[in-house]
Amino acid sequence: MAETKRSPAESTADREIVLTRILDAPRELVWQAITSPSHLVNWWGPLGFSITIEEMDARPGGVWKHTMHGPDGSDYPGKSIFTEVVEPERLSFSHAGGKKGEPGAHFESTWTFEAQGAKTKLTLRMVFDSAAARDLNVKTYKSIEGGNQTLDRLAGYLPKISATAAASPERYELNLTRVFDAPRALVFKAFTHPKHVAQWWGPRGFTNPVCEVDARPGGEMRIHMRGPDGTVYPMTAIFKEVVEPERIVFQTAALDANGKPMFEVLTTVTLAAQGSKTKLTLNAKVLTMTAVAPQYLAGMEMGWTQSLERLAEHVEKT
Amino acid sequence: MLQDQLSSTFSALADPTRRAILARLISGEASVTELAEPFDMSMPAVSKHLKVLERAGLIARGREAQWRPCRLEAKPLKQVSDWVEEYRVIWEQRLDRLDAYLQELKKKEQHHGRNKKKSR
Repeated sequence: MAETKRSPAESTADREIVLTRILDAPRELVWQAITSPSHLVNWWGPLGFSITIEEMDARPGGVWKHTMHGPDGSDYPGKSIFTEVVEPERLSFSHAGGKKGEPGAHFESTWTFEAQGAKTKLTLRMVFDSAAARDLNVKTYKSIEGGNQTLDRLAGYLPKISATAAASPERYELNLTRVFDAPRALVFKAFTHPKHVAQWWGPRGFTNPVCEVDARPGGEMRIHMRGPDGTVYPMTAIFKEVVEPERIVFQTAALDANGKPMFEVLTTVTLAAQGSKTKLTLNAKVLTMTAVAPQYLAGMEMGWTQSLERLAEHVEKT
Repeated sequence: MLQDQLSSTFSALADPTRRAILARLISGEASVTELAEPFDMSMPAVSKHLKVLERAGLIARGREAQWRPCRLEAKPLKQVSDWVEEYRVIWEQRLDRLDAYLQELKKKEQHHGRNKKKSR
């Protein structure tokens, strides 16, 4: 019977360690906890261990160089090379390391992330060169027990970051990317010359009867967006940074229903050339009153009459 | 007065200590003493942060007990992410139009280039 068909999974069965755990956190968060060094240092390793990360670049071919410190003070230097990085599903790396004076540890490790509603099933598979190598590793390094303790620590750490993520400023920022089939110089021109801006600035169905763009640091952008029903929504922005042809930073205010600025929004547009195409990255974040007092006052003088929020409502209706 | 609330929510969220307090409250109610614990900060300083959070509607404080437990109020956080979502809609549409306009612009420039060559 030993000669009957063996699936690839079975073929490593005698030389692997497989650990699974259901984690009470979404897959993306588990992925983050494992691939970002600032998270990993907080939980990696068996109970009582800590880790120093010299380098960790979770990309195919990327290196992860680290030293684990045991509770008895002994060090376990190791180096892994990432072989497969499929966010947020699968992470593989080839590991070589061990404790000085002990047999080396070498294995291929694959972490599989399966979404189960708001939870994640994490499977950790370590494949050794031979059954003997596995057995030696289990004996020398207590890798099954240690692996389970590492997963315990991960499970304990996840609630901390899920809470932090819920209150993190990233949640309240807008990040967009877009690739345009046009050279970077042209995209920059379309973003900074009034003649061009007037052609696209308003949301769908809008025209821009007034469009003044003075794209240099301190320069203003004044645009009147005219909705399909004739309502005019004026907006003003101040350019903070203009670096041709790659970077445009400007500040606008979001207004309340009475046209008073509520808070300032800082928008950063980055243009990167990709052959004959251009990748645009946009980040918009809210600045608070204390950080922006002068612009806040300037904004009030402009007499803006509509908030972006009302504009958005309007846009959705049309 | 959604807008006023939004602006105070953003202000409240701008401070890392206040974000950390909110993060702590996600796992359940806590007293001021418990909230102050992880920070190297005086009780009055923590109380000040709590007042800002309370004014922004991000936390509510119990009246029933002497220790007045703080708990998280999720509504303002939701409004903030709704606002960001609306802003996203505006920008998505803008970039759609920019995309279409760039294609037009490219065609024109190519056309222009050809005419130049012909006239030579």
